[in-house]
Amino acid sequence: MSSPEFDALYQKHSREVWALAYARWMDADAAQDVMQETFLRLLKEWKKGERILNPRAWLLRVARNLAEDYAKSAFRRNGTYAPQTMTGLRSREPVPIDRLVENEQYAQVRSFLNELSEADREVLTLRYGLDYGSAEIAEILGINTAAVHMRLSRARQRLAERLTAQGVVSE
Amino acid sequence: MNGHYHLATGGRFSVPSDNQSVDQALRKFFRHEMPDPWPACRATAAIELRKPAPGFRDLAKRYLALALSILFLMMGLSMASDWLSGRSHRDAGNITDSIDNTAQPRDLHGNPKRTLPPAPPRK
Repeated sequence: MSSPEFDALYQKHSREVWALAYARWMDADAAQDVMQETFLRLLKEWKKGERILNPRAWLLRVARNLAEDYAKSAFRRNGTYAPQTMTGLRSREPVPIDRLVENEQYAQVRSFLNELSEADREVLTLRYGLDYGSAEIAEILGINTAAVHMRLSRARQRLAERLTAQGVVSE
Repeated sequence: MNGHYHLATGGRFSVPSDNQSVDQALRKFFRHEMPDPWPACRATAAIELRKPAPGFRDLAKRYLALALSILFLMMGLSMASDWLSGRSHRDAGNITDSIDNTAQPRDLHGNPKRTLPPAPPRK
């Protein structure tokens, strides 16, 4: 495995890896850490001479496992704060009011997405984050396209309901 | 579920009930969450920083080259010093041979220089 081949693999699949990790924790920084660690492990496997027939499947599987272990490994070992604590910290720099309002709105959407199942969040992240079609999402998640449509529709509906029920949106 | 939904916080981020606008709102949210610009791969950067250590063969080659260089340098120095000392001996012999005490000084045309007899001591 040469460096250009590895770079091509990174360009092709890193967003998918990020999306799955993000869907697990709804934390962009954690997802980025998981993504980088996943590719580092792939490189190590190759350096060891391991033959990986389907790198994409391998990457997605490892990303899921790493995302699962992320909370109990990184935060406990390093003693860092949980992402929700860090995002709650205020900057010393004055923030424009528009930015504050926007951030607040994003935080609300994030909290509603957190109430959905991980499976629903995966579909939503791949659909809206990466603009993937049903066939691609089905391939990544190992389900059929009908199931993708069902999850997508259900997740969208639930999200709209949450926004209404919480009074965040008004009719 | 017809009509538009508006966030209570100022109504800037509208979430209408129709699917198309929900799609737009979600797309905007997820795009905001994604890193921009997309980060470079740390794994390849780490590999580039960590150049592989030279193997035994490379190391042996380097030491051999160094040893040969030193050997050639010493041989060269020895030969040069021998040559220089031989030449200096030869030159010394030539010089002693070429010195002729009986020869008279000559002018530019090769004629013997006329030399004045020493002046008598003044009284």
